[in-house]
Amino acid sequence: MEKNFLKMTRLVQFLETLRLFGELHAPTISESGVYRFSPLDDPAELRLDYHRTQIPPKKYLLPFREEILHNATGSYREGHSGAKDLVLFGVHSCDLEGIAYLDRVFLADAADPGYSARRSRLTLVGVSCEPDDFCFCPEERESTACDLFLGASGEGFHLACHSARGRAVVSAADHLLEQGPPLPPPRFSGPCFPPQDPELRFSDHPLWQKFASTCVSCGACSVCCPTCYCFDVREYPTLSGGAARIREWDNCLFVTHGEVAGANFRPDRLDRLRFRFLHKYCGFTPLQGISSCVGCGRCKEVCPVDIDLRELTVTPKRVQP
Amino acid sequence: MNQQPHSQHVPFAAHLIERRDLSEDTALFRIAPDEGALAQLFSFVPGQFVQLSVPGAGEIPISPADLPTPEGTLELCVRRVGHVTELLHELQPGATLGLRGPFGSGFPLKEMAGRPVLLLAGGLGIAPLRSLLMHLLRQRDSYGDITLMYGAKQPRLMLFREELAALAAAGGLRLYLTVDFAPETLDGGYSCAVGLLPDLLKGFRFDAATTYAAVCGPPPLYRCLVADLERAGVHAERILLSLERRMRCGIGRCCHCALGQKLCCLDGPVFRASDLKGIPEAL
Amino acid sequence: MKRLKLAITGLTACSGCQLTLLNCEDELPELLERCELIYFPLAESGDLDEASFDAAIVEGAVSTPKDLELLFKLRNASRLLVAYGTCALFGGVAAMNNRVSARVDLLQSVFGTGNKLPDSFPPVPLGNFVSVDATITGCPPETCDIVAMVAALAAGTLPPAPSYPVCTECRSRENLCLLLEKGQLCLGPVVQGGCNARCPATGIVCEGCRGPVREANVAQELELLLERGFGRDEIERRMSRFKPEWNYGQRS
Repeated sequence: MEKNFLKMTRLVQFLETLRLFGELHAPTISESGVYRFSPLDDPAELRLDYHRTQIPPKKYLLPFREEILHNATGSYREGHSGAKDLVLFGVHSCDLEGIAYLDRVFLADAADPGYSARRSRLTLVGVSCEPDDFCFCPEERESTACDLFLGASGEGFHLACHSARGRAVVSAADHLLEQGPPLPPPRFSGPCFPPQDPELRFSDHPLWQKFASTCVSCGACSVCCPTCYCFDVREYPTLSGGAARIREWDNCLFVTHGEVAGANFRPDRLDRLRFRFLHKYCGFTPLQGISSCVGCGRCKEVCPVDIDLRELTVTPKRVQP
Repeated sequence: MNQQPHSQHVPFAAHLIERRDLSEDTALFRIAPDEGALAQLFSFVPGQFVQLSVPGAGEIPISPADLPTPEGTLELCVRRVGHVTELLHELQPGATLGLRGPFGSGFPLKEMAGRPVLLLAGGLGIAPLRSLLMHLLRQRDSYGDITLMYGAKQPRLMLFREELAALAAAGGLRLYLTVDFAPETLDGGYSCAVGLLPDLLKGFRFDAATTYAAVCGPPPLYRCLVADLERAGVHAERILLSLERRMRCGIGRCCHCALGQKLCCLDGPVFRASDLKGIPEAL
Repeated sequence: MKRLKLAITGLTACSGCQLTLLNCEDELPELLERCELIYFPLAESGDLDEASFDAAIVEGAVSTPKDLELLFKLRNASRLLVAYGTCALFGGVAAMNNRVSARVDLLQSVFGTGNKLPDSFPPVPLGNFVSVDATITGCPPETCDIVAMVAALAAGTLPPAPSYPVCTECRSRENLCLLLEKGQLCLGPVVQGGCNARCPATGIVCEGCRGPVREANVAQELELLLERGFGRDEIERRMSRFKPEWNYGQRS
């Protein structure tokens, strides 16, 4: 029988083993009390009891702002991807599915150079979680979109390998593992909120108007969403006579999102909410028909005005005429 | 240069060869891509777009106004409307630019073969349709009747008018021009109708059952023309619309150009009117 | 390369914006290579008469006849006029009491009742008197913004102007949300970002020094703050600290 059980008491040693595969990052809590993925210098800082980090792990693959091109001599050159060997430990299933979705976007035809450079050097170690009130993924979900998954069980973790790199980690940690009870059968993996009918965006649900009038376009929902990836591209000349082209996270609820010179194709916030609904739950070419909601609950938790787009998918209670 | 940059992500260097003013705010830029890009641009289909970089200002999507020439130059018709185009208009021949592409889907030329083609252009919409027109005229025998209806705000804003008139005079093209408004001081020697573009369609006799219509113009024009064409009997599948959106990436990632669930940069910028039904935000 | 002819000066203001430029020590040598600082009284003497500029970068609000005279001179002598900093764009701190106090009372509280009062009027943005070609917001502005502006001007263009609220950068930096988590009077949702959420990152609420973001949902921000127990007076006082006029009914 294979050794696939890690006792809690061996976790710190296991983390040290993970460092062999790259710089180790894991959930921690900041001074001001925000959960985040950060370098794990001291294993005592690990917070495996976290529900969700404010910013999902997409920040490692798609930085908030990134120089994609620079031009010093008249012609454009690729920016530095900053890729390095990185191990992300303690990622929940929702965030793993989020990365799997981003992979489909950025590793498809004409793979994004920066994203793929960083992705190829990223080792993902998932861990099971306890949902809170904001989560809405099915219970017992266990994503396979990782190299290795740690399912909490009794006094430790069941290890399930999902890639060659995952198996390499397990063999490097062989001395820390022991035979556990047989692995439970593979559980549900994939996005969790079903694709929606695109026509729903024109429904007469009264919440559309309400959301459009209360949304403050702060951008928090998409900044914190593990699958939001819309980006803006801007170019800045440099004093030395060259130029730098940057890409930065964008938000479909900003007025600038649908603008062209002299016109705006999504002039009102309601138009932009519809766009968000469509992108999130119905998908765009070539991911049409695919919902990208992974159930992490971040959008609901960070929204200052409690907008939850999922409410638009259920038939409204009859409103008073 | 030994190392080929990723053409989809990193612009090829290109040089501005010459510019020709077409109106007070619009000019035609002839651009020569450096060697590496040539092969790609020769596969360019009218209606596709390129991403033009003006170093220091940024990148804009533009549908070329002609097919690439044998000597490997490309013509882009650009109006001064924002930071990027402002800087482009200030550049002198020899200036270095960048090009990515071509991207998107062009006009379905194979399918249009043997059929009459009606081109409807409003304002700057003449640019992408001019490259289609040039293709049709070069392969004149492969298509049926070719008609161009072109509307501009006023005579001095009508682009390429001498050139178009010469093409019409040479035969093979029916040309209908119109202006929204003609100033009293209109210089003589040139005549066109006064009225809106859709007015030209009224009373126009054509074989609606086989004709392909290609439309490009300012946003309000599409709805009106699609309805008129359908009323005249042109099936929505044969009404081809070249749409404008602000593609940042050109390769289906940034999501700014989405219309409904389609992305203008991948599924368009040339769409069939039938594909846009149920997408009110498209037109 | 032709050097850019610049005027950099201030009207009614604290000179903080101009100092921001002088603080760009790493960039100054390159900046001087690209630009000719023809008129920059804060750093060196210069003569405005007969001069002409590619661009005038002007800090401060318009509040005296002398301000106006200088502003018109600069506008006439420059191809481009850049409103530099929050005062030049919105009136700024000097204008915070425009709506609540008469000018004469304010002047008397400073200069006393016995003296002859200086000639002045309520501070207003440059745009109230002249056309403005480009803007840099902030009190003080970010050094990267002024460097980007000068670099763009030298390249014959203008820098792109992203438009998103402070919250966007604040969340992306993984700060604690002071409005939601601490119930503090934070103006992040309605204020133009670009500062990398400097204040909230150190636990201080956004005071709104960069002015309103495009399509600020002011009415909803007001509701959010009222719900958290702040009085309308206090909210308005805070919001008018850097921009006296807000449309509190505005939702888009």
